[in-house]
Amino acid sequence: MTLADPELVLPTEAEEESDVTARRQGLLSALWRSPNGRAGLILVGLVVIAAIAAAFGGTPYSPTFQNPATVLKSPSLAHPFGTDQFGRDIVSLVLDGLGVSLEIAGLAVLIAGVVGTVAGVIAGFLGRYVSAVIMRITDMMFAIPAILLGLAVVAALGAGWLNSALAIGIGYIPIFVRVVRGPVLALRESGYVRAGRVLGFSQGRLLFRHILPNIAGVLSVQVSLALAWSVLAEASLSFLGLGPPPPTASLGEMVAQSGSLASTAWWTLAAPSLAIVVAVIGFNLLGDGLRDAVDPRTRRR
Amino acid sequence: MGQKNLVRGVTAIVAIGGLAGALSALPASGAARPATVRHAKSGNFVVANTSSVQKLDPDVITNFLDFQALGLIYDQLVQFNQKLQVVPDLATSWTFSNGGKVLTFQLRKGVKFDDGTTFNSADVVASLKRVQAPKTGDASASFLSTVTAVVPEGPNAVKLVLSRPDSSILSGLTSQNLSMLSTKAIAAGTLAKKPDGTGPFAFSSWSPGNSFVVKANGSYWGGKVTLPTVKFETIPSEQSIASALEANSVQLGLLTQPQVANHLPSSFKVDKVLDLSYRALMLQDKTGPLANVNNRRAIACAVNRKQVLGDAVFGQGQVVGPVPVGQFATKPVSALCPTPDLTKAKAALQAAGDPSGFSFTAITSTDLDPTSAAQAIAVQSQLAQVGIKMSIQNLAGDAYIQDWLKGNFQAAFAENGADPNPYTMYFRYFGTGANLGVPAGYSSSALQKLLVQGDAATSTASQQRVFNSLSSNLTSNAVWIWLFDSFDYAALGKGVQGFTITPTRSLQSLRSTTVS
Repeated sequence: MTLADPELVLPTEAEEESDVTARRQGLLSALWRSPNGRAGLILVGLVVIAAIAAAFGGTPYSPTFQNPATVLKSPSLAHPFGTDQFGRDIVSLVLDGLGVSLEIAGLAVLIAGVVGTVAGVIAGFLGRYVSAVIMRITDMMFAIPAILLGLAVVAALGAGWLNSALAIGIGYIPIFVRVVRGPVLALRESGYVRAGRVLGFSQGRLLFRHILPNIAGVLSVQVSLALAWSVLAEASLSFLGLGPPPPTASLGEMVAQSGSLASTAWWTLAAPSLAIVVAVIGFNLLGDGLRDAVDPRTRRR
Repeated sequence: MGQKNLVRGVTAIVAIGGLAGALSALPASGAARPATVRHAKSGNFVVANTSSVQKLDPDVITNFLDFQALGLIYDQLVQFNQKLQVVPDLATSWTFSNGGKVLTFQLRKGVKFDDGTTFNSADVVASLKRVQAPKTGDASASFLSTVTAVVPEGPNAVKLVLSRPDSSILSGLTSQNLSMLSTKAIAAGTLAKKPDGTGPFAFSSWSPGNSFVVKANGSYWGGKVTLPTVKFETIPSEQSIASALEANSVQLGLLTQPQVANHLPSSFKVDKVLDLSYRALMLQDKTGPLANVNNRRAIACAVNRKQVLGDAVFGQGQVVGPVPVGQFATKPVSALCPTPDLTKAKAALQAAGDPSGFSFTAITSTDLDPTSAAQAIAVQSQLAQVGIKMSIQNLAGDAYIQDWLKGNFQAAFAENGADPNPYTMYFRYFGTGANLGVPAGYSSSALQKLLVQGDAATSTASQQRVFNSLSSNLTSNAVWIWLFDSFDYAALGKGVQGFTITPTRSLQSLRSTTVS
């Protein structure tokens, strides 16, 4: 083989950039073309808008404002999802709770994603001894269900916003390691990476310019799915009383508190449950859509 | 592909909906373990509560369920009846002599301990000496603070020599921390592992955090016990207890939340009683911002007790001061701010030098008191109105009790036992050498004097005067923030008859309870 071989002509940096942009544009339109992706985008969009509105004080009432005059009022125009036993507006609480859920889930996925990706890339790209060590640690973590690991971490560190994120994040690291390592192993042996190696490219350039962009699609699917699990895990921890303490609004805690009221004031249970369902389905569908969009087989179809 | 997506979407919705439904049926906060709801085996009468039995030594217990469960195994010299009058238990009669400084009890004959030994005056002496021994760590040792000697008068009578006339001694002797123990068991040192009493039931087994089982005492002095076994099960949410009642896996549900108790199907009989206890926000007044009396006063004036009562138990109870019941009940409930007064609260903060407020942490345990979460959320929001930031830390039942006993908290939402006699209630917290002085977190010589004066007073009128000053001293110094007294509910399962709930929460009527 010589450098004149057309298959081995490497793209210039400018060409690489434009290729990535094209892929991104293609990804978005492919996502919109997939019914799952479209539904996911809409639901996630709604959830994110609601959370941002709550973060900037855009709730109809203050989520912490307790009004003895409006205790346990059923849904009405003034309070579309009714009020709770403290006379607080449930829409405002749910919006605030969604924001908190997304913040915790986002940070958890960031922790799991960054640590998991770095470990996965190292395991896939470096020598087999390093890989063996990382993968055995991953196997050990896999042996413990993520929610149990989360419970243990919160029990050790104490309940709170940051600890919840940390607990959930740690639980989902092994999934990212597994998901990343596979493609990196395959890419390491691909023609263009081997060519880069022959041309004397540094490990860093090979990693950041040739390998990481190629696993971005897989990662984005994983991030979306992990967000769905994390929202659910956060709700579970709060339900068990291990989430951020009041006055921080929390969907899981609202579900727990309203358990005893469900027969008399169904709306106290309905609204937070619905919010959890919408957020989880949204991120799941978005993940499904992304998978369809980045999978060459389904794209061709 | 569209059809496939639709199927996938519907499956996802059903799965997540199912999960949400399952979540709502699970036990609530603080419980990292699933509810242990099992079907009652034939003859197993199951009593369910959110709390679990914490300790077996009756002298050191402080948890309400411990009192209820061990109350089936142990007897005292005297007990309260439904009207809160002192009536015989293992003492059949008593007389005061020597100007009220000697109290002689005649003891019941033919009473046997579970270990087979016969109850006599030596057991009374050994039991009361054990209460007084500092190393025992008895939670109510202060009830015997005036007792200088316990002298047997033959096998069936015992004499208590008092340092001064003590009007509260009898009500103190009703306490389960002053149970009658077997001399043999005391010598063997086995009481913390194997209860050994004279009550209608005998100890069978204990699985910490999970269940506690007693069996009928065949040689009970009070007659035949109808239920062969009683099993206490921990079910960490009252909603789950209601479900277990409906499923007939629980025969008696001990509840505190009216929203659960009042909404059981009408086929269930629910007994309720305004219990002999009170909810308070206990403050550690020795360090930090709460050491400043004006900061405490700001809390006392910012708290809206009526609203806390409404939020926590839907108004089913009454707002109370330090003495919740009886002829010495505190009226008005606070000498400082009987009703919330934010202007006064802000003025107190100004006087404390903290005009913009301060921060502190309050502990709760929804295992021990399921209403404490709502109390804390209500108080937190009320205090925020004047700039006081209260953080909430919810603890598991055993962790809460440990921290509480060590005074390892700034503030604690607590449910404490009450008594018609203010001396009995507060000497153990604020008296000289008070054995619960650490969790009380406050001491003053004025309070110590008032307690002794009230107890030694010879007329009801002078007692009334002193105990009014006591209440006023406690509330004007905002020693703690007294909140409310609420109902206890006993939900009876299908076919359960003959059970009555008492203000002292005694479950003694289980001895004649039947299940058809």
